[in-house]
Amino acid sequence: MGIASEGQEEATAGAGGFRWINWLVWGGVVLLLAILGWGLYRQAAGRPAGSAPDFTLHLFEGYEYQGRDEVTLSDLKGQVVVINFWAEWCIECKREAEILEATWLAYRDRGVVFLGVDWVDVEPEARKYLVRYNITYPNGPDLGSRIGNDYGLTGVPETFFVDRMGKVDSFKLGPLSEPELTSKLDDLLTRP
Amino acid sequence: MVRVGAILVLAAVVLLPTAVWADDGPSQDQVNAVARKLFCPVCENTPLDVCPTEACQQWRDVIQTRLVEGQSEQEILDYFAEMYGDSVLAQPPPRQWAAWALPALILVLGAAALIFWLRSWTRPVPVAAQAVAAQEAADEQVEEDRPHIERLERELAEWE
Repeated sequence: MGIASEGQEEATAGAGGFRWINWLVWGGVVLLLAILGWGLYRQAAGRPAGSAPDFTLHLFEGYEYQGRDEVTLSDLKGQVVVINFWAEWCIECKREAEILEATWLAYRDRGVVFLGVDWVDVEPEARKYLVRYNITYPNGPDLGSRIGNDYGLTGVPETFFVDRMGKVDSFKLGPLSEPELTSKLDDLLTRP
Repeated sequence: MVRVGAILVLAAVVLLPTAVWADDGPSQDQVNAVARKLFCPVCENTPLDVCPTEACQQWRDVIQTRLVEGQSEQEILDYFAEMYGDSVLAQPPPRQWAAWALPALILVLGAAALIFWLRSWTRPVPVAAQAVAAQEAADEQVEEDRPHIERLERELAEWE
């Protein structure tokens, strides 16, 4: 009887231990799947939809906005905003640099603001780039890559169009052509 | 005297370029030692010291400039993290405790689960437990057969 009781206890403890291990293993699997899912979700969520993520861009000297050395996106509500991510080392950015500047000059008095966001770049090189392409619209570095992260940036150039309500209307991955830039702006300017 | 002069000239010829070289600033190895602690911002999972892109070359130039200015390796890494975000660091900073703790936690949990799982497979079932199990099975069988046994005994009694 004594032996039987001991055996029974061992058998019970063994079954309990196995159950505990089962929970641990399945819990671990669920945890790993949750982490994987979260990663995939963040990757898929990517570009923002709806309200444009707000940010404050600290501007390069000589590229201020209305005399201020920083600009906050939410302060620009009521205007169409073109957010262009670029970098000096980016070859495709050079293809659209002159188009962006020419379009800025044509639209700046029509309620359109261009913001150049210099992404993972070295400041002296970025400044040379701005001078080389005669860029005059507000420009500043993406410190800590925070703006790029909020916009799900995967590379440059990439341009986001924000309507007057402060919502992301669309984005373009790669260099813009003049017709697509002007037609997009004309379209956004006709909306309330 | 001539021999001493020749030795001095020879020493000057050998040492002078070394001194000039030293004034050029940090060596490529020193730059790369810092660069390999950073990742290319453009290509995924490519350490800065081996990345051939223009962006990475510019970053290596920044490292060189800052080494010349006398900054330490940690100061340079902090600068890059501040400018471009923690994701450029090959090793996440201590403040990102989750990046360190989570893999360790998963490793510990996984190892514990594996050990206990393997032990539950390999551990022999105690003899006493086997006996108890056999006895319980037999008892169950008896209980199951009891109506038939009783009927058989009853019929045998009637027949006699």
